[in-house]
Amino acid sequence: MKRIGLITCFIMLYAILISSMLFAQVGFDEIFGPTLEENEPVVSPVTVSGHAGIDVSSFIDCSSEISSVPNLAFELGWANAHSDASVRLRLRPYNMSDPFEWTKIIDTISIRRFFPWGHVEAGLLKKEWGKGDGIHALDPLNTLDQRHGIKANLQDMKIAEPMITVAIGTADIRGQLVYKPISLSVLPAISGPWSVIDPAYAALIDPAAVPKTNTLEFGQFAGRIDVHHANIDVGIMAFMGHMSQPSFAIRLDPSTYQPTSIQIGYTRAFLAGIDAGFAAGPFTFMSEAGIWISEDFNASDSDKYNNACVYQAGFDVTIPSSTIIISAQLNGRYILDLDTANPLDVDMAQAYGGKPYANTMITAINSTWFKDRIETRLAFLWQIESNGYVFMPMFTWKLDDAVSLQAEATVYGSFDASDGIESIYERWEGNDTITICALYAF
Amino acid sequence: MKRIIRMIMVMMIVTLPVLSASSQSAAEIMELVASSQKHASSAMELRMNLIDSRGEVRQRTLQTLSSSENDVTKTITVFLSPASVKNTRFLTIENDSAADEQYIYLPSLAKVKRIAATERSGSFMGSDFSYADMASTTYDTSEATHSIIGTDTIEGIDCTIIESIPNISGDYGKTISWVDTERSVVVKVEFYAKDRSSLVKTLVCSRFELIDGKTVARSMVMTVADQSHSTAVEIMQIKLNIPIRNEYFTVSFLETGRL
Repeated sequence: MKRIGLITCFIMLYAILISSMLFAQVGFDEIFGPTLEENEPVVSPVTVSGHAGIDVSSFIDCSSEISSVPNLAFELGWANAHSDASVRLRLRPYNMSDPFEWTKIIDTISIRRFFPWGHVEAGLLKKEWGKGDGIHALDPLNTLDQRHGIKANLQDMKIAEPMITVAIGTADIRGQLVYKPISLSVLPAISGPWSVIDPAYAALIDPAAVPKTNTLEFGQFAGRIDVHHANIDVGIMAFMGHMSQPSFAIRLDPSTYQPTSIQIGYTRAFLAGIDAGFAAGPFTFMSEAGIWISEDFNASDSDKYNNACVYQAGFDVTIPSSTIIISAQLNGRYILDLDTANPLDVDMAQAYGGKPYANTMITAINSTWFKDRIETRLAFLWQIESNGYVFMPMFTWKLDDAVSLQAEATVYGSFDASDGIESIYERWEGNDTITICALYAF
Repeated sequence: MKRIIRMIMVMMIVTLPVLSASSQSAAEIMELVASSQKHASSAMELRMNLIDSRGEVRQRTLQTLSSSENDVTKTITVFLSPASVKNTRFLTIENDSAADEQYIYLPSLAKVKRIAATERSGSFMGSDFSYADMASTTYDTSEATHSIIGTDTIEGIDCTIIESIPNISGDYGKTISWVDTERSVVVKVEFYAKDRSSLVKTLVCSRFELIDGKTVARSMVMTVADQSHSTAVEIMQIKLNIPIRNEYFTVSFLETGRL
């Protein structure tokens, strides 16, 4: 990953150096001239933006230590008539003793070349597919970093990955092809407060035995076509790669039936799906549906995930005569041919109560007050079968256009703790956090 | 976004025929004001100052392109500042015979999202302008009952005062417009609540200039009734009836910001 990041940086810098005419493009420069007034600086040849601030966070527990960490974001952009490049750097460690990782520094690197028929983009990219609002059933291009819990904006959890995209199209029909030379898996914590597995089992995982996915063997391809017509948008997508969620296969001692090791594996699979969105009155409706075709098509290998259907439906609505926007989405999956008689089947780890289906309801209420000076958000995520939940309130006060203060909390729990721990959110019940940050945007 | 352009045009653009108020009915005057805004395309750069009761100013700048053809008006807007909204882009497609389409591109998400286009009362960019404001000054004879209620002089401009009561009450029960009938331009508008007696806010236009054969007010100030907040809009650049490439009004442009 580090090497790929360095190579991408080098390519990008080289592209910049060979660009003789550098200027920033914001707005419709072809039509408007520069609006220069007295004492107004000349437009810079590059664009620079971002924010600087500090996060003060703590578990909601009086005995926990309070950590103060920098919250820095920096985006540098260049553009000429036919191409542009941008680098987004993000420094937001969870604590100052975190080991250095490129994925925590480089948010994205993008180099684009535009043609009359479309554009080509390469770099370390984050892409969001699907019509859903922040959460998706058909968004396989980036994996999530789950090592520090859940964030209200799932895009913040995404890890930029090397990829090349080609976009073509007309006003109403657009196509996109994506090639990812390697694959990254979801990054779960297997120890510590954010562990997704029982601590007793964590020791059974041999890190050296975890398959390396940063090889061409794990290359992935994807494509989608989007059609816009009147008030309806429809997209068709296909993805050939791996399920990003690693599988945890438990090995037992044949004589004692005690677990001896846990093998982490990845399931190669094909995803095909369709998504649609349309507006009606104050409502915007969104839906996604697809099917994962696993390499274990016949559900005969308990170490591989089975075929599964994924789906999502929801809506946004703006309350009339207000700034309140309410959204509700149901995201779920249905595992085909689930072998409930085999508790060691890796699919059973995701089958709450042995049910082949799992559904999550996500609701949010966003609003702004006092001419956009105050912004509030109440987000609630409920995993229905396990009764686990996450509550994420947020309050932002914009002192002016540049300076803002923000307070947000994340509360994990379960509505039903009597059946033992099933939900990851119940496991994280002691990890409720509160963060207060001050930011200056530039 | 189209509505803000329409509103700006309604208040600023003047047709050349010179007609006296005495020879026109209220409906005819408002019809002339409405018809004067019709043009094939426009391009504007706007500066919007949001001013609170302490005089503290928050500034927004944006550029907008609009094109009308075959009863379909397309508008795209890009925000230039402040940093928190820079490069946010809106695309609105308004079709006289179908529901409006509206898309937004948020640079932080790098994704285009379709949004409902029917909410007319919401504040535009935290300003004192709402989408409903844009429509209320453009009532034609089929949408409202207009009547002349007097004359006045504002900043040396002789105006006919016209009261407009919408047939279907929206966010306002009444508007009163001061119209420069010589140039068919609105100089001032008062917006009243549904009870038709409570003033909600007042719009004042100024700095009239002749541009491309049409009179344009380059400055507008909307002030809420209790004077606690106001919004001043200044047109930094404006071009009318210029060729604008259709590729600007596409989701592809919205997503990339490039043709």
